[in-house]
Amino acid sequence: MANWCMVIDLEKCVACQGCSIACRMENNTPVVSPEEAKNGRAIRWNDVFPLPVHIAPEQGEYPNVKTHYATRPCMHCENAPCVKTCPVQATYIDEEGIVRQNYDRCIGCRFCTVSCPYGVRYFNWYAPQWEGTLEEHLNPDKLSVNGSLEGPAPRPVGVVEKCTYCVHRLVKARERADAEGREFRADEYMPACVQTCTGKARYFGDLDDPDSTVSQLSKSLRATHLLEDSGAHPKTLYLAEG
Amino acid sequence: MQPILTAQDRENLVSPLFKFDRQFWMTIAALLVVTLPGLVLYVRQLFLGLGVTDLNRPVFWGAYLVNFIFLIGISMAGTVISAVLHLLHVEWRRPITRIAESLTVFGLMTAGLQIIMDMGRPDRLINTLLYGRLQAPLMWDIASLTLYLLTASFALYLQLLPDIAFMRDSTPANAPTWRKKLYSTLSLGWRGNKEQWARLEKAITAVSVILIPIGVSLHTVTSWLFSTTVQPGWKSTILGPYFVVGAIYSGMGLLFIAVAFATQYNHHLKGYITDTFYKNLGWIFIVMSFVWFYFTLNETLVVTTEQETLEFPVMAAKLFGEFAPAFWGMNLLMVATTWILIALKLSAKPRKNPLFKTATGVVMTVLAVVTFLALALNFPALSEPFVELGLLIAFIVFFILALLGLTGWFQAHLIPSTVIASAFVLFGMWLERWNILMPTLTHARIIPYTTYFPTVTEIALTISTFGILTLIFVVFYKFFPSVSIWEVEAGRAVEMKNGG
Amino acid sequence: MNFPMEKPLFQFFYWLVNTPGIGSVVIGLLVGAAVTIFFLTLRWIVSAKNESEEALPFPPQH
Repeated sequence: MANWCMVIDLEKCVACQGCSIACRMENNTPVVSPEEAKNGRAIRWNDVFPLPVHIAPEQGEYPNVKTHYATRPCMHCENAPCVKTCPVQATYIDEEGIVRQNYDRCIGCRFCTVSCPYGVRYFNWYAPQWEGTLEEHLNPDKLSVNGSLEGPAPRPVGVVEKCTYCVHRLVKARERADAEGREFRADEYMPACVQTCTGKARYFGDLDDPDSTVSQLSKSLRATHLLEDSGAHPKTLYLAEG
Repeated sequence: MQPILTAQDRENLVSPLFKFDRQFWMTIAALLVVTLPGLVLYVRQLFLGLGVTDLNRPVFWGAYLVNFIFLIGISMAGTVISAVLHLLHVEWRRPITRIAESLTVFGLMTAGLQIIMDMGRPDRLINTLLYGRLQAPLMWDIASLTLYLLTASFALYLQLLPDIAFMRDSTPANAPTWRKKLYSTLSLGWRGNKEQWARLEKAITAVSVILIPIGVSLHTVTSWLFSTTVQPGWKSTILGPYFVVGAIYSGMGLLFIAVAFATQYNHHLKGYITDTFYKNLGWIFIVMSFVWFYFTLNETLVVTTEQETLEFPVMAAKLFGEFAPAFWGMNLLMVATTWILIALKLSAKPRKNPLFKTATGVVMTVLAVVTFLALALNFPALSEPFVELGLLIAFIVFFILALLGLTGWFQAHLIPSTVIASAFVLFGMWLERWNILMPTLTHARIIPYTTYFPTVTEIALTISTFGILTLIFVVFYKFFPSVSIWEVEAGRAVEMKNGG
Repeated sequence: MNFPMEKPLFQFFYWLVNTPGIGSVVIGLLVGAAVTIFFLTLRWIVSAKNESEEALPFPPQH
């Protein structure tokens, strides 16, 4: 079985936020009003933000500081704290290393959001809504696993959601390969953010395949993770700048 | 065996239960007025979603969870007082065991409500029954809470059984038939023969023994909701014992307030719940105060000394950041409490406090509160370094003078002082739960810092919760005697036997 | 460093803590056991028979 992994080259990233927009359009993330966004209710499965997030005094005073931009999907940790703390298994790691989300089972206790050290999880505070013509451009894809909604179709109020490495695209690609009567190839599947990236800074593939790009990149001296010692064993790899 | 229960006793303990007088209805009306707005706002929250609170990312848990841990904490009262004192054969526990045990049961019930209020999808509560995962700390909490609630209810029922039979036999003729039927059904045919008493006592002892580990486990498991995550400020190995200590401390505070409320509501009870209870439990209260300080010092000193990069922002927020008023306010409340409790032990014979001392004390209290608020609200005009330092020194002086001035008043008024000390403890412990949750949540590692302040919905629901708790208390004690009649009789028999 | 998942004991523990529904079963068993014990204890207390049916208002002191 594959072990899907994303590698992000921060040297090539120009922080254009194309990945965040593509993710929003692909996954039908609801929009919120500016007041709500200021209160920290914006939902951005892929977020682009400056690092370090909190500038310590010894790092200088703005604007004389050293910062760089990072783009952050879900880490799809191998020892995910969110999976461990979900009381109903509304989030789980499947056999291909993707941390999945079951929107029909989630009870909205938000224990997973509180356990995640990376802040990749978001909650639907109100029923999702889209303004004006955005409603006409929702992604019609829908992934149902054992009768439960897991795919990009709009989620109801009161459930937790997060980046799923666009797993509905994986299922679609596999089904297409089956329909065409051929083997499924790993490079047929890539999340929307990887497909869109302006600077070609994002790579996606099977970490267990020694010939894949991500596998080769993971051996780079620049390869690192966010919050390496969180104990969660994050999988999403970053290639540090410099 | 001569009757130890006199007619006056019956008048004091039994007759009030059949009088639905103005005081009762006014109390119920007042409590409903306090409770209903929150319930209306909860229905609104059900329809609109949790967006009506001030919760946000990363502050995913807020007032509801603080209330949850607080209510679970105050549920320790029954266990410690009733079970431990029963096993130690302490005589002065007898009049208050009933109130103590019922506080545990009612507290746990309202704690469960908080979780349901906090869930994004309460309609899916059944999923925890169908798909519960054993690895999740929330499931351990559900298990522990349910077990504790069942065992505490069973303990309450066991100790209530002889009194239900007594009520069955003492129901006045003009009482409604359903009430007599209620008592006969619930009394399970209790006749009070020797063998039944022997078995009941054995069962009570057994339940008292198992209540203690179950109670300790509930608070430990609740602390594990936080200490099993990797979040700074929560990753503490002593959070378990800290929560247990805090629970016993706040539980005692609630017990004092509940007992004082009961004796105010029904003045006849003052004959049974005497000053002895306040004095004796006051010693344990002082000990718990010091144990709590010991744990708080431990938690604070260790993290402050280490100054680990990812941990320190949370502690700094509490020491001198935006949570400083809540953190230091909590510590000051506990200092005031400990002072009051120790002062009560120092006076052999309470004399009336000279008026000028009391007046100075009151004035100093007002000044202390004003200076504290001035420091807490961080006005730009007052932020000059020496002005701030001056305010701080002024506050400390006012605080000490206030306590000194009022010491005499405290010593002359045992029960009001104990109630004040208990109120400080309850408020302080609520702040402690707030200080555990909010600094960590508002200071996430790779999310910008945010703020959180409860909205009208959350405040109203908090008030409603305490309204519901009091309502259950008042209604319950309209049907069952609040002082354990058979225990009082047994206590008197022991006194007589010991040559009283 | 992680748990030695190739060992069958750890695979069993993983199954035990991770399978949805097992937690519910365990809690159900605990609660069921508790309720049964309480019910049986009450029955045991109330069913006590004594030669003298003298009704005592409080437990006899020893």
